[in-house]
Amino acid sequence: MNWIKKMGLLFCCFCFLKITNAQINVSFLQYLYENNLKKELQTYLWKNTLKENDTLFFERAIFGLNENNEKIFIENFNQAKNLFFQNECALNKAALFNFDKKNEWFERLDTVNLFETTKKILLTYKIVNSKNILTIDSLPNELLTSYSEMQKYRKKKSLNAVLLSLILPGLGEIYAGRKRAFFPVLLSNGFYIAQSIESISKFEVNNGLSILNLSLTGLFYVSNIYGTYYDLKKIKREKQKQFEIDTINYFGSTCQCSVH
Amino acid sequence: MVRILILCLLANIMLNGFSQNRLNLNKSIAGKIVEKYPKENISKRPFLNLQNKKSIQKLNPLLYVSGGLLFFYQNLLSEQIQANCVYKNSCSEHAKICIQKYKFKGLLMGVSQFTKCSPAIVQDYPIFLKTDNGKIINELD
Repeated sequence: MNWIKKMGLLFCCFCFLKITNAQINVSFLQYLYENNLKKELQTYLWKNTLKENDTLFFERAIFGLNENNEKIFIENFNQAKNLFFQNECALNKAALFNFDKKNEWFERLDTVNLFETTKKILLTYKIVNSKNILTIDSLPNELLTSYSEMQKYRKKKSLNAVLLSLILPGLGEIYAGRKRAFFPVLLSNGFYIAQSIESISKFEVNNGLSILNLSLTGLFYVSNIYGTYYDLKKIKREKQKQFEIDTINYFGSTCQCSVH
Repeated sequence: MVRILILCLLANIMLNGFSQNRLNLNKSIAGKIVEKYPKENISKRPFLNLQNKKSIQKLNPLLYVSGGLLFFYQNLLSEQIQANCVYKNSCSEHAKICIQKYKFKGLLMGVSQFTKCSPAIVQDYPIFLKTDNGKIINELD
């Protein structure tokens, strides 16, 4: 009978060890994060023996956040939603992570029980992605400069830029916001126009050199117009990106917390 | 006789040009000298990418003439002025990429960048669009 007792005791120990091994060891995770052992961390979190529960999905989603891996985050966030909505720091971090990503995370977010900072981030997100000008009462002062800059460029019309470029090469660039491009564009276009005029006056229009010069002048002139149109579109995107970066930096610095 | 001399002179210039190509530098010697300084990765500038082109397009002689001229310019002439370029992708490289992607619109985009090129233009770009060396990132979306 003695050996049965021993076997029973061993079995209990084994079960105890198995149960404890199935739970996440938070201090071990902390150690891995502190020592930047990413591969070991990934191996541990995706270990088969770990019991799949909210905490595990939460930790995996946080791993996705820290590793800037959108796929891992989205996969695990949905299964660990409850824990995210209880942890302000993690939710804010998730919101800032998805701020400049073009996914539908914010659209699917439950807006009822949100924290104050998360609400502000959500509002800023709506401002960025809305074509209409929204009220900015609750926008922090630190973001007003880049916000007004973004709105200023959103109001600018491509047609105006194109018309200005037609009138004088380089003028559209000033309108679009690349003031320092005015002189190089004007000079290069002016040079080709002058060369064309000279070659036409010296030779005739039918001359090969005149045709070459006229073609180059036309190419530079048209490229100046198209370049202005393309630049304005690009600058609008740049200003939006700047606002996004400023928002992420501002809220990232205000909520000084570390999930791990 | 004069023609032969001119040919020899041209061949000499070309050989000198190729010998100054940074990609052909003796890495064992150059590596020891510059290993302690941060180096900029120099991308190779191959001939036009013809993989996605239709077979009828590959028969176009103008493609080879223009591509060859660009290749000659990028790998021989441009080597001497590369250090002063304000853009991450030089004008010729940018034009090449744009033309391959957007055809005629790409040509206009390439010429547009060429006309705007000046050292002062760097100040018009935000910080996140600049590299550590202060060059403008002009990669296509």
